[in-house]
Amino acid sequence: MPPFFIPGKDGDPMSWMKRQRMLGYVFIAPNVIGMTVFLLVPALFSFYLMFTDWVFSSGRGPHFIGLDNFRRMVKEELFWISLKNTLLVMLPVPVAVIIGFLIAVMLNNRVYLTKTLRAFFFAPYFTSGIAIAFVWMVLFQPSEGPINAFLRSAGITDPPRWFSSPDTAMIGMLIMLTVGGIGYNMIIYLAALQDISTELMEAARIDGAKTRHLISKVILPLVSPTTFFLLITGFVGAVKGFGMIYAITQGGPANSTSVFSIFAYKQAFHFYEMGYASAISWTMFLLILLISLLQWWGQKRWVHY
Amino acid sequence: MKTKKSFHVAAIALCTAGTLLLAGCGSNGNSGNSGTNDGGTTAAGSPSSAASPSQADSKKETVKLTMWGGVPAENGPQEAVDNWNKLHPDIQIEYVRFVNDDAGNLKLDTALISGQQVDLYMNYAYSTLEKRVQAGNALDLSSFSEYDIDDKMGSAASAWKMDGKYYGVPTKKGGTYVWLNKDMLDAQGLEVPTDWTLDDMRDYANKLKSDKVWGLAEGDYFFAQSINSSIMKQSLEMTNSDGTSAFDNPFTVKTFEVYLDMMFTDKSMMPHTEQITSKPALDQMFVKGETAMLFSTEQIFRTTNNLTDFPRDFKVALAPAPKVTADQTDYIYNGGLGDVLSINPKSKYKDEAWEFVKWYADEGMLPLAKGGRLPSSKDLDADEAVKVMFEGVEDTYDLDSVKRVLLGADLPYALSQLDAKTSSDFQVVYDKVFSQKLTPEEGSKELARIHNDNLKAAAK
Repeated sequence: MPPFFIPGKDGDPMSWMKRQRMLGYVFIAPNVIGMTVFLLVPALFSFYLMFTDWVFSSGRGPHFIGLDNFRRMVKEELFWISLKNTLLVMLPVPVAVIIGFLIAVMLNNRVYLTKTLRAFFFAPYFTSGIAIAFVWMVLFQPSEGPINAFLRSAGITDPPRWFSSPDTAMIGMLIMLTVGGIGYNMIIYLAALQDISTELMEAARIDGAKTRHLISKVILPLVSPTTFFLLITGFVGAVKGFGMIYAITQGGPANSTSVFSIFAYKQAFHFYEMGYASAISWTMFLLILLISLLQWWGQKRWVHY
Repeated sequence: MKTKKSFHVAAIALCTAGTLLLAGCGSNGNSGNSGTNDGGTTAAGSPSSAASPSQADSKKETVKLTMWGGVPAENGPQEAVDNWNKLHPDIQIEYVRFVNDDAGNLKLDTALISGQQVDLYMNYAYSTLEKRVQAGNALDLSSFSEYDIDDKMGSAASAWKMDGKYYGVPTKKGGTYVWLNKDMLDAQGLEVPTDWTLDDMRDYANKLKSDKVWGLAEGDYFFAQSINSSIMKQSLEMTNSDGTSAFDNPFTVKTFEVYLDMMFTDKSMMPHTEQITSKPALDQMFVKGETAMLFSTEQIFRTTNNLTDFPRDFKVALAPAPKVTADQTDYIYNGGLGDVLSINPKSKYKDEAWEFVKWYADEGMLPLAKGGRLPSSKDLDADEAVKVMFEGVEDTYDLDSVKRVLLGADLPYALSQLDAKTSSDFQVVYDKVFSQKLTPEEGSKELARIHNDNLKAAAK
């Protein structure tokens, strides 16, 4: 069998091109097959299921029930709590982007221990989310955790109960998600900052630009595609977020940290209501789509390529 | 029918794949709980290893059956299965452990529905067995008439009947009890209680607590015990005679009040919401002397009998669950028969599986006594089980109280048949009451409201 990468014996370039194409298909086949079997087909199947009452363990097939799952969903208090919390977990995204940017600018200049600090800020990104979640659980432990120990030593006699209270659990989550997002943003910004020409910066300085002007008038516009990328992927990731929240509270206490993915997960894998869970998942998808479209539409005003 | 089955298999495969879609939760979220401990996939995923019936008939080939259970293999099931395999070289059983939680039960249900080889499996809750019966995954045992389950197991077995039929054989008896650190009780001059109330338990916890020792610890499940125990006599579905929820009653309010006082007034018990996020291992807290009392089931024998991994220098005593009030006459203790062994109707070897069920119930399960499981069959000598249970560790128990509560006391036992969704929804109410967002009265009414809503939804 002739190798794919040399022309055929007859020297026909088209034959060579064909083989090249075939080789391309062979290379992408594992991914395409995997994506089709594990993503595309289940996604399409769940699209069908959301209009049915299929309960996994019932032994009955699905029955078409139209939009009943959606009617049921909007009547449930947990849906509205999950929607509110899903929107809340998007808040850490811009905050982490801003902090990540500022740290990147700082580390991009010559400061002491640049490499150590870079690794320090990036550590949460390459650490398992569940391990991070457990560290935060210990940090926020109400009676013996270091954060409350510090607050008590600072004179606060009744510090928040963090993940243990329905009032403060979500605040704890937002802090955790913000800190967790900084490292990745910082690294991406650092890469973007390397691309800014030093001549441009020097020219701006010669023209009298101060540091704040450099940041706002030169750096920020030049890294705006990176900012857009970080925001769009950050928001998508936030809406889909599951592991860390589930590991700490499973959506509790009293459903106070329930987000869409946990709401869908419980319906699917606690109660086996696959039809209903599909409806929730597709609502989550629509939310992500809407947010992404809004950003796409908005980016024309502030992203400079 | 075949098309329907094919649909199910395809649908399950797709849903399994769908879990990967769901926010990438498969690897990070829940699987961590079951992890490799339950290790059932390999064994259950090899249906081809079983010989076909025709081959078995002609060549007398060895029949291989798979039994799924929630008890770790090393806590008795493996020894039981090995004993059977020695006695029956022609019928070999393989034990596959699933963790008895949501993820583990989902794994078993997936295996049952998708036609993997599960010949026998254990049920630990009425609601899960009910689902499996409705899905056609539990064999109606009426046809095996030579074995009278009611006669062997006693009248308590009937709690597991559905539409008057058995779909599994209950094999053990047990309940919920309060485990006590006898040395701590002695130090405070406290007697081992034989008949007590929630207020007594609060008093004990208050006297037993110290800087580094909680008075009492218990899992989420046990808040419901006192509440359910006050209702079960009138209905195992926890309803009034008119079909409405029975949860809004003075006993529910009293239960909430006592626990709240223990958490926030006496500070003799870890606040519930702190416990659910700190996730302490309660059995280990008890054997380490970090809590003086533990409200739990006989499952703690796995820990208290294991002096190698969990060394302790105190004696363990046992008290029955406390009533809500001293004059309560309709209190039913939580417990009765459990470990219900069912046969998969799709098994190729139902008769062989049935032979195993009978053997397991009447003699085979004895090795599980080490883990605290008392056989329910009248054919199995209770003294023999107790001997196995305490072998080598007799000195570390206050045997009088343990035997009195486990064997001697003739207490009324029953198990609630509350549906899984209502039980899950109640967790939110417990969270709110025990984080003081709802008063005990409001909590009681909220339980009833949720239950009534779910009853109405189920009736539709």
